[in-house]
Amino acid sequence: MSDGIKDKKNRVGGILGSSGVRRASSVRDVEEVKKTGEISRVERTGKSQRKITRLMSAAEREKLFQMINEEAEKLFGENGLPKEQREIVENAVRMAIDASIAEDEDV
Amino acid sequence: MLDDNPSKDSSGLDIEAANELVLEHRGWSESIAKSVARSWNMDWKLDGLDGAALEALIFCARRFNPGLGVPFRGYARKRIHEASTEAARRSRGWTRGAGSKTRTERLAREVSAELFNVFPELRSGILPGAEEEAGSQGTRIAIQQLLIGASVIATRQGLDAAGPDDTLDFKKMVSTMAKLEAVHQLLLWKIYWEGNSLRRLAGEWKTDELNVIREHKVIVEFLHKHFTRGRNIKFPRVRPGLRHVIGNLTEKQEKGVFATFLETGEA
Repeated sequence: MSDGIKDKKNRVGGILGSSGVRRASSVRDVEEVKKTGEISRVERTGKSQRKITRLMSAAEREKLFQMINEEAEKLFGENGLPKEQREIVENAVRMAIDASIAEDEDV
Repeated sequence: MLDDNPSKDSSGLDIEAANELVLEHRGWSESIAKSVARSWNMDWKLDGLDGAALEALIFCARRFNPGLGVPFRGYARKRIHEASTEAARRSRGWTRGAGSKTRTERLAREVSAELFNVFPELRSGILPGAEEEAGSQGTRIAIQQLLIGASVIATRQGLDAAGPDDTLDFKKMVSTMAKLEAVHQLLLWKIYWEGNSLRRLAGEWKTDELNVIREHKVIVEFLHKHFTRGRNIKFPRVRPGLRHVIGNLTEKQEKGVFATFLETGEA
């Protein structure tokens, strides 16, 4: 094992002084910029992914109407909103959804 | 309603290309008008929805800019739907109540027409909040929102028309709204009583539209839980996005517009 570590004479000394900065040499050559290759694949991004907004379809109309009926059942009643309003409100929502579904739509 | 003023911007379509678009999508625009007529038990031709939908289609075709990357149907659907519903409401069939079997059906039509103002995404064929929740659960939540929205509209319409003996029917909703925070009461008042869109209200309150949309959603979700699960549901606090509105309330608004309405019958 070298005794250089213990030998103070061989220790790295302090900076004595800096000589001048060497002048930059001229540019010799520049390589051509390489063309980017094709994208090989796209991977899934992180957690925050925008969900696809989907149009309502004519095929699910009856299912939506059934859901309206179920939810209205919970909302109107003894502890909820007055039953007298149920028919108006339920029909209104049914009409609004029905009017929003076009038969000739690309879903 | 629609200015016949073809865009002079060179990035739009020329007349020939616009006409091609009209021919290509005419059947589709008619299907939108037919849907509106079907839901409201009206005749799409006799009540003028066909002409309104075509006019809107032509208007959109002339203004359409494909360079913006928005598909034509996505751009035009809302306008065609709006034109169809407006034509229906202006028609004699609407005011005369032709086709409506009962008073209830007529009232339901009035409420449904206003639902499109509160939830304009319906005009695009999309349920409210469709981007946030997917699947069956998301659909159910959207329907809950629509039912509450329709209930609030029905409350307002009912109060407008009700005699002194009938106001008790609507008191339940108004009493609950009167206990909300003042900003929330004001939001509901501006949207449902004054007929402002959420976008316009966001402009008035100098905030992002999303803040108003989310606040509205929170209020509606609370009302739904309150009326379905009982009275132990905690009233929602104003979210950070709208806290600045609190400082701008007038003295009258600070008391709560619905609280004042219950006391005096005026806001």
